[in-house]
Amino acid sequence: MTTQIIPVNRDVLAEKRVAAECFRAERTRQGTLVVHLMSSPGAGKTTLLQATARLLRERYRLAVLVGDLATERDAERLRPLLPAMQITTGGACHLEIGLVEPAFARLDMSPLDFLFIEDVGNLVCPASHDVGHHLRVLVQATTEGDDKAGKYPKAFRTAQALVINKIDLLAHVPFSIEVATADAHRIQPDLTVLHVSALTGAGIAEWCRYLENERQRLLAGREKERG
Amino acid sequence: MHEVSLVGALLEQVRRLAQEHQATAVEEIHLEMGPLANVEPVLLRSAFEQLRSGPLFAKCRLCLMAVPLVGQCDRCQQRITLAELDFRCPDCGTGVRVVQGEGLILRRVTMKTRETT
Repeated sequence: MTTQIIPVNRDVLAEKRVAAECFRAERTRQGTLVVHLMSSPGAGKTTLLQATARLLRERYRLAVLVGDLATERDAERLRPLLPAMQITTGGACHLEIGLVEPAFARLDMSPLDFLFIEDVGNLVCPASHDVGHHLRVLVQATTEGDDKAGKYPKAFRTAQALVINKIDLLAHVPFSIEVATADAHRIQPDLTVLHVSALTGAGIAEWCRYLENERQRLLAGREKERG
Repeated sequence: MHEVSLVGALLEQVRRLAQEHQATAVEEIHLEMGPLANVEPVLLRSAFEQLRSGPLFAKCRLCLMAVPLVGQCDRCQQRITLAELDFRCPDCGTGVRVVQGEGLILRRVTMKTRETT
């Protein structure tokens, strides 16, 4: 019997990332942009998805996977507009690739243009997990306060876009878009920031154009690799 | 909750390593974590106590090392220790790439094995 020191030098979540990488690569191959939506509870992810689906569904094949601890409420709201599969996590406060893959398989649809993954309302845990996404979008409501980026650095650090929602309420809340944007750019200088009201529709067309551009970039990157 | 998920993944990795090396006991697990790992050491240890089971981990010590957040500015080609959570290069303002302190890293494992080295 000997005592051995085995060097590993691996991220503890490396294995899960491999599965996520495979999922992402397969979606790239199929031309599906996977968009991961994260926010605090009530910031407006589902309402934003409803508004997005209304605008995009005529021209694109869309679907959504929704994570919640309990109920199918979000999926039920979305189903009239796009195919929606609910992932009821029970106790888990975040989605992981291990939950996303089987749910996606159950969707059983021919190649999509956009796959949305709406995470559990939580700015903490989802940030540490790769759900096989191309794009991570944070939704921050004007009603939440403009100091969230510094308080939830991992969420903002790992995102590519920030959607400031509920701009229709700006007159009634002490929220500064400038302060929130500066705070966000301190943590993630490359963040694209958009201002919307999912309820009134303000800014939704621009948000959808952003999504279309991101998908075009994905397809262009794919062609480059093939060529 | 998050620490439980991490420790679950960690123990799975270490179990597989133990199998590969025909280990009878794991003596030490060395982990490294930085400010963006989203890990609270107290909760990590508590999750470890909760999830460790069997003779393999009976005498196992969890060694945690905190490391600073280090970023690399690809424009200036310099490495910067990020004392506070500001990810812009202090010289050119470009966003830096984090090269240390982002995840929970399993550095090494000390095990009692039947192998002869």
